[in-house]
Amino acid sequence: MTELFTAIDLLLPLQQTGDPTEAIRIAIDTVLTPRNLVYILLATLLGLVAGMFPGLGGPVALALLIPITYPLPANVALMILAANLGGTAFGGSITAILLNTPGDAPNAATVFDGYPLTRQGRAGEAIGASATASALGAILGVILLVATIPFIRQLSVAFHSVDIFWLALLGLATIAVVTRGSVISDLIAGGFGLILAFHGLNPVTGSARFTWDFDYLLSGVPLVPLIIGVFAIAEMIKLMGERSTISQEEPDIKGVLVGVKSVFRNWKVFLRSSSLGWIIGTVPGAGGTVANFLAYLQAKQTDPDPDSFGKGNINGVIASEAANDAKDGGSMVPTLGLGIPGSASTAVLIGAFVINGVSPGPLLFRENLQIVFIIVFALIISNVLTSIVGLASAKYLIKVTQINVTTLVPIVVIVGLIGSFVIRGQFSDVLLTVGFGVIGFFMVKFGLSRVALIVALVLGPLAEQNFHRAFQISRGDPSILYNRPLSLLLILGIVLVLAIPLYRSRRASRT
Amino acid sequence: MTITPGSIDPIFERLSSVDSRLWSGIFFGILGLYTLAVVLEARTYSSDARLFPLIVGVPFLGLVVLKLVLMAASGRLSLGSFEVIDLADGMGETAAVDVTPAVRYRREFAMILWIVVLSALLWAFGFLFALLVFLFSFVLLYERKPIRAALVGVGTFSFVYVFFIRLLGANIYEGAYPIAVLGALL
Repeated sequence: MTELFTAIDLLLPLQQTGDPTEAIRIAIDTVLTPRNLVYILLATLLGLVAGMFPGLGGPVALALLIPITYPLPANVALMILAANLGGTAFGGSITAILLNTPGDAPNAATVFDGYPLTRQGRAGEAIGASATASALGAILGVILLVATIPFIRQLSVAFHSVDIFWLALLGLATIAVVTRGSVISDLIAGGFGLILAFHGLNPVTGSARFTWDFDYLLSGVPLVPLIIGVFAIAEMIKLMGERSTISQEEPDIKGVLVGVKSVFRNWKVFLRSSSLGWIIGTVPGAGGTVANFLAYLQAKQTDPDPDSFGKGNINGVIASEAANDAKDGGSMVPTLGLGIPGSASTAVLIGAFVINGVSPGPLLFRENLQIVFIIVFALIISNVLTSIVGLASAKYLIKVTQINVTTLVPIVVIVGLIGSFVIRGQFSDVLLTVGFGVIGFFMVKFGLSRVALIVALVLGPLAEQNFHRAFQISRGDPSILYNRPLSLLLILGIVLVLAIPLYRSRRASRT
Repeated sequence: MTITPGSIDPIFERLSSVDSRLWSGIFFGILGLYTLAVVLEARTYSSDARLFPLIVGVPFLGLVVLKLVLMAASGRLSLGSFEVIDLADGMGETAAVDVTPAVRYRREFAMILWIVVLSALLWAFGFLFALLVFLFSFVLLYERKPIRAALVGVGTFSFVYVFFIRLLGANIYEGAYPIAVLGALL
């Protein structure tokens, strides 16, 4: 097999000239080979299925695929990994919609409206909207990536540490606005997430904090086992209390088409969310969680009926998923342009680049431009495939909502616990998942937002580390916090995010 | 003495009759106490390391205290009764199922027990054995259909084996007392 691929490698030489026409030709030749198309299909399906399991989506699925693709030529291996990446994001939205359990943190905002739609018997509509918004968002993100190739370096370094700090605070500010509970409860949930985020070794200060002499806590509170606990396990405990199917209504099969149409009908929401997702994707480390939430927030704020959000407004699903998938194209900007990962998934992708002997960064565009286009084409094909598979299988997927809970619950619990184990191979992660399952259950009981907890846990370290980095760069000068135009713009964004709901509620109380 | 669902219902009825603010208070109190421990511990760290934990921890403690005061005051000020389940979050979407709170609590408590027992099984015998035993006994107990229980167990086992072990090559925990050891002992 290795000899065969060596021969194919000779037919598909690595590009050396940096000529875009030649690079595109090589990329098309690589991607459109029947066998490689089959690889893309398999990688996409694997990504889709893995994305549906909390804990297996995105970076974990990629990491597990790297050894499998290692014997293949670099072009083909990276194509498979890009296709897999394209499949995982949508997969995570399916569990968010059907089981109130996001596949990964960037799918968290999808549960706000996706799950209420499911409980109203409109799961098909939500999946249809999610599949369409995901695919179109990803394609738009990739088109924007190609359009920015000439000035990719400038874009990659546009955000400094201090800007990322403000961006993280902007994401944290959405906690008080996006969720529907009492502001005090949401802030407590967010604060709890931040407190958890401070556990472990701080890479900037080099100190181990709040480990209470447990070596396990040195690496901090792991995100994915916690997500599986507070969402999947907690939800299963709750469902067993009700002892009913997830949806009391007969699922509407025709709703899938309604969901597809709703994306085109609400094209402004889609375009705004995708663009926002793409821009935030270009910020190294900010990842999909901020994109997801800010897109949801803008959709809510610009909607004529903002109060319907969180109760089953299809625009909530469209905004969240369009941004989540568009950010993949954006996160390729720093990943390919500078070799700085734009998200957890692209961090693993960079590892795959290195393993395959390819250096991401400026040299990539001079010496291996074909790889950029292979990734672009693989992402486009995988997203279209994901959408088609998602739409075609929606009528089967939504039957999950009609399964008797006494059958569904034990399966979800055991698969969730396996998912929490395979990421790091530590049994302690399983125990943490169980512990946070119980905590998540009580959070539901006492009205604390689990989404706020996750957002804070993801963004807390981002804010803290970039704050310290900014001060190290400025040698302790606090003016660094506000002397860049982009920082000022983000500060203005935070003020607006917090002020607009106050203004609206005052205006509403007057009228 | 045999424990049946009906025999322990009075315990849950008594629990459900307790003012729900007490349970909320205990939950928020534990959160507050842990945060207090974090704040006190943070004071022993370097200035950089303690900055953010203190910036977040101190106001967080204030919020918890405010929440507890508001809960305590709501009864005296008659600001409205507290529901045990707060749906305002949007995350706690709950179906309109006709069950009494006591029955619901008993079922939820039983599910938590199931998960704890499953964790012990997983730790002792690993995922594959625990999966089969847990799924078969869970479905059998609740649905009273042995064939269905076996099908659910074997089907999930096959999926986990093919997808996680064969396809993804993931290492699955084999337990502190793998089945081979158990077999040898028996």
